[in-house]
Amino acid sequence: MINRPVSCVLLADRHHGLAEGIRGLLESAFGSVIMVADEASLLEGAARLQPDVAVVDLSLARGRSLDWLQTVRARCPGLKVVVLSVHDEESVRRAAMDAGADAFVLKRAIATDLLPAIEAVQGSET
Amino acid sequence: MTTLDQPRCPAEPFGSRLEFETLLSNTSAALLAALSDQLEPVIEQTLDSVRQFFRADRCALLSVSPDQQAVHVLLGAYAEGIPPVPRDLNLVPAFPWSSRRLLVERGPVRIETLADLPPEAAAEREMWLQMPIRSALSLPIASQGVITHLIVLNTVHRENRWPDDFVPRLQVLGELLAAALMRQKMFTGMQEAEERLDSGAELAGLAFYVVNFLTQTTFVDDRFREVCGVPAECESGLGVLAFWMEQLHPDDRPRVLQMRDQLHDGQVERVALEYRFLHPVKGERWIHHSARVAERDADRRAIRTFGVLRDITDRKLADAELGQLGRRLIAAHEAERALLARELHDDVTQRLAVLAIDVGRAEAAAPHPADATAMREIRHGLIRLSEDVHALAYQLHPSVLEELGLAEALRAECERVGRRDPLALTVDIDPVSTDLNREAALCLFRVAQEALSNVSHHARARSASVTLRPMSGGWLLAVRDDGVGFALDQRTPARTLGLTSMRERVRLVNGSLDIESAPGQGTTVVAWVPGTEGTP
Repeated sequence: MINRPVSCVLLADRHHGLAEGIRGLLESAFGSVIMVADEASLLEGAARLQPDVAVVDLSLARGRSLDWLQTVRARCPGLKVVVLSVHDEESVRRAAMDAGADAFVLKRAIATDLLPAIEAVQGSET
Repeated sequence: MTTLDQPRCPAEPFGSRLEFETLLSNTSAALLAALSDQLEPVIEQTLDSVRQFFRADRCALLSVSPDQQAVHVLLGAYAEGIPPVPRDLNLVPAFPWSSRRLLVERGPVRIETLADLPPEAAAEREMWLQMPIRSALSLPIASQGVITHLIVLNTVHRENRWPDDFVPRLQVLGELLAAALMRQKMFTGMQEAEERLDSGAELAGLAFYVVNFLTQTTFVDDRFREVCGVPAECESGLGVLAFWMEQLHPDDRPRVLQMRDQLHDGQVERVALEYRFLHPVKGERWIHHSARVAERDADRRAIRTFGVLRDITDRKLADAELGQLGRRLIAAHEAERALLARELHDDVTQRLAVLAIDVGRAEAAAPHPADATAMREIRHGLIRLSEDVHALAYQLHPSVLEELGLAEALRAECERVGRRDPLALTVDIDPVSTDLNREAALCLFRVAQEALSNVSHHARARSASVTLRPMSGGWLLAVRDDGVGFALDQRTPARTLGLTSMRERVRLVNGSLDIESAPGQGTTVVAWVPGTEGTP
């Protein structure tokens, strides 16, 4: 499981039901999970709470989906970002990774893939 | 023996012949001089002169029906107190012997007394006694090998002489009359045709003109003046031409004048074009113009040209409206699909993900391995369901297009095609191309999708490529394959429909579509759309 305790995970998904489900999953491993539902709150939370990891839905902002990722990358260089998406095309994964994501998890595989993905990015250096 | 009435001056055949020749030439001159609508009085007068000359009671000109069965009295002259004969007569059954003689043997019937009727003319004898007719002279008149008319003379109360000498001359007179009638018929037909043409032209709103460069004159009809708004001071010189050139829309003038030069130089024999024209009163109008050269000089330069113009502004407006309607229909259709796809992504897919998480946690917490296995099966089922829902949503609308732009959407589509078909697919996309407006981006995406679908279904290609580049203030998409290709004029209905749909989509965003293909040469679909900013 998680080797060292993580104080804070920022979870950004505008789909409330799913966000709740993910929070349940994350709370078993992290001290606190802060949920936001839009791009502005994500950027503000990332700046003020200094989370170790942000788990963010690719479709957080309708259209220009990767802009937020680039902004987050620019403002919080140390933050690990795990991108969630319903799109299973390799090109979408590659686009997310090219834009600065640390990991990419398909929403349908969250149950099994999210925690290992977070673990993996925590062990890596940005 | 009964005394026979003689024609006038029977003792002076020379004198009476002269009289008849005079009648002939007078008739001839009168017929030529007569306008078509004054022909009938001339013919009536002639018939009366003939009747008097032969001392007959009746003289009539009859037309023969095309089936050579019936006759119709066109015009007749009658002595005082003599009733006219019925206007229509079924000649063959009523007068079998006479009709055979006139229409089959094409000879005259010349009966001076009832006794002259041969035994086989029993029907005639019967009818004559009834009518009554005592003597008769009838001549057939042929035109182009067919008996078209009869000239008929008869007496009611007395027997009459029909001198042999005058039969051929009467024949000539009859032919003159028949020819005049034919001419009248043709003239009336022509007049009707002209009227029809005229009203047709009026209905079609056709304006007519002729320009003669040799005489430096122009003829334009009233509709031309109306369509172009030609000022009254532009009369028959080349002023109208100068006016027309002046009022051409500046953007269209070079193109129009270039085509005009080609026509005048002899490069083409006729032109048909559409252009905008600045009507002095109505403002900008669309004109359809067909022109051709009537006469050229030795150097093939046009001496005389003519043409027709039509104001097609209404049609142009209707076309534009139709285009708007098409655009709205496609937009509404796409919006509906996008909405459904979004519902699937935002609701169904998310709920499935939540279920998968819940089942995953239950799986991890299951006390017995058998429960865990069952939970895992459910979770895998949910994942497969999720994949299917995503595929369905993608079919409806590529939401990746809005989320990541055209470049990623095209890459995603190529990836899907690559997963489905054994096709070496290369994607070459200029990174600049992402700032395309949504309508144009969707248009290019759909063109690529259709083109790739054609590659999969028809091309039997080994490799294909998709390229997207900025070009001429817009973006150029090209989908090429190395497959079997096809003759552009021999398309299957399904393919034609696909191509039509592509073309229509591209047209609606003011772009252009080109398809190059030939059997064995592969196929290239090239779509260009203007890259205007802003989302509709």
